[in-house]
This record gives sequence, C-alpha cells and structure tokens, in this order.
Amino acid sequence: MDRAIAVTVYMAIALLFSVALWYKVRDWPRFVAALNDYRIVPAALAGPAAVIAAALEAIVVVATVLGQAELGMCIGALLLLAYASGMALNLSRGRGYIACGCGVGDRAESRLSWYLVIRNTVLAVLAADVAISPAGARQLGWIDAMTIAAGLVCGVSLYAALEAAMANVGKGLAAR
Amino acid sequence: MMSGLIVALIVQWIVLVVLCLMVLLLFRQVGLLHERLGPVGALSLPGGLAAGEAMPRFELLSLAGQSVPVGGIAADGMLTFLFFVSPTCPVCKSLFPAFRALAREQGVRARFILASDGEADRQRAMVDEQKLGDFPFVLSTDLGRRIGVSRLPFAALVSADGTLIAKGLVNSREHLESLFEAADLNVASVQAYLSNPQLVKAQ
Repeated sequence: MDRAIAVTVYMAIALLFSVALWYKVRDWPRFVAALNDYRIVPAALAGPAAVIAAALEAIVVVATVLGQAELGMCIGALLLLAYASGMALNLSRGRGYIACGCGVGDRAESRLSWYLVIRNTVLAVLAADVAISPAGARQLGWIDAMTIAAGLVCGVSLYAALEAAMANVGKGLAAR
Repeated sequence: MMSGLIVALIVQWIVLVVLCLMVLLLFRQVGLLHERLGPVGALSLPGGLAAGEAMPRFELLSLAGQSVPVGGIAADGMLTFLFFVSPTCPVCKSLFPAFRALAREQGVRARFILASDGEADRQRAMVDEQKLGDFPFVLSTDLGRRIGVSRLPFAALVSADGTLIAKGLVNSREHLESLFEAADLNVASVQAYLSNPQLVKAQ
C-alpha cells in the first residue's frame, strides 16, 4: 500500500478509536452494562473485560501516535473483529435488541444490526491491511500532506453521514 | 503539464471535501425531519397481542411474594399499567422518575406493575437502587412474550375488562402518558391517531 494511503487509513482508525474511547470513559457504567448485555463474559468479569477493551483501544491510539502504526493497527483490527463477532453472535442468538455500546453520541443507544457487523469487518480489513502490507518508504511531500488531510476530512464526514443515514432507517418505519 | 495536474488535484480535493460535508449535513437534516414528523407516543411494534384484543389472565408472583393478577376482569374496576424494564437498560433508568410521577397522577384509576424477566437478584438490586419498592415487580417471560415486548422500555395498558388498550416502546415521559391518552381518546396507538384525519382535525 502506498504510504500516503496507509497514513490516511491508520490516522482515521486511530481517530475513531480515540473518539470511541472518549465516549466509553465519559459514561463508563453504561459501557460496562452494554458489555455485560453481550453475555460473552460472566457478569462478574464484565468490569475487568471493559477495562481490558478500553486499555487496548488506548494502546491502538498511543502506538499509532508514537509511530508504531503497524502494532496499533494489528491490535485495532483484532479489537474490531472481536466486536464484530460479539455482535454477530448476539444477533444470531436473537438478542439484537441489546444496546451496541459502540456508537458515538446519540448513537450509543443504537441496537445491534448486521450493518454494524459489516462496518466493523470492513474497518478491521483496512486496519489489518495497513498492519500487514509493507508500507512504502516513499518520502512524503506536500501533495501527500494534502491527500492525507483531505482524505481524513472526507473519510470522517462520510463515516458520520453513513451513521446518520443508518440511524434514520428505523425512524422512517416509525413515522409510518 | 505537471502544474496543471497539481492544480486539478487541488481543485478536486476541495470539491470532494465540500461534497462529503454536504452529504453529512443532508443526512443529519433528514434525521431532524424524521424527529419532527415522528409521532410523540408509544411506538407500537408488530408482534404479540394487538390493541383491543383480550389479554389472558396471568397469576403472577411479585418479587416480594404477593400474588399479582394481570389480565382478565379486574374486580376493582382499575386499569393495569405494565412497565417492562431491565436492570441493563439505561433508558429504563432514566424513565423511572417519570414512571413514579405517572403512578402518582393516575394511581386512582390504575394499578402500576413493573415487569421483567431474568435473574431475581439483579432485579432486586435495581428495585432498591431506584426506590421502586412501592410497585409490584413480576418476573415473567410469558407475559412479555404474549404482549409482544420486543424492545425495552416497553409499556402496556390493560382495561378493567381485560382488553389490551395500548402498548408500545416508550422512550420518554410523553410516551408513557400517551398510553393513558389512548385510553381517554379510545385510539389504540398514536399511529392510529395520526392516520385518522377526523381525530386530528378535532384536536
């Protein structure tokens, strides 16, 4: 993968994890409750499991910022896959009504859906790609800086737009 | 040639960034529109008993051990308000104050019952924490399944003769109150209300 693209991807994913981490820390009891609802770890271990998940997210962000993007993306991809499989497991158990605990802001209460599983899997593949494929050693110039900055803005706004669009899906049915 | 390409690249990035931001704004605006047009009332979801159907009688035991009859003909002529909650549902927690207020307002004509299923210990902890000891709390998977509780918090109102007046997903104080509105206006749900032009005009 070209270095400019790799940098754009890992910065975007690190940004996503830092925002997600911020929302978890801000309303910690809600995150623990949401994790407990997944019924993957015993209730007594939900607290420690939440700490581990948050710590791993913090490592993703810190490692990426400190220049260890491959390590950060490797952990990030595994985390995203773990979340996706947790959701898929609960969806197939028929427990799609539980809060996903993954969203940002108003979406934190959103229910599980296959859309979230697909979204996390796509993000995991992107992160894994950065972690595995050798980053080119190309010297980045100002054009690359522009590519990265504009790419980030586009990526973030398209991601947020997709979230907003998916949040509307249920509402459309409700008004009918 | 090179500078031409670079100029083109810059122009395209600018256009692309603006476009992406506009898509975001557009979807947010659509979301706002949905909220403004959406019903302010308990959202009736498909599944389970429909409003107007007779509710079978359930003889349930509360957490405190009292017998709590639900459905069937109520000897005292009172309505029965069922509030389905769970210790792990954050919205439920935020609705308990509104639930208590509603129980004070409507206490003369309705019995208020909390319902859930799952482990009794965690429910008891919630009852203590949220000071809900005044209300009978029943654990019954059957009750929820019969009424068609698919998401929490969920509320249902049963008349004295045992018919389901209204039911729905509740997310706010207005939603909780809307079930009593449904009883007063004799409409099953806010959806039924909105789709009846005469009622809307009379308002």
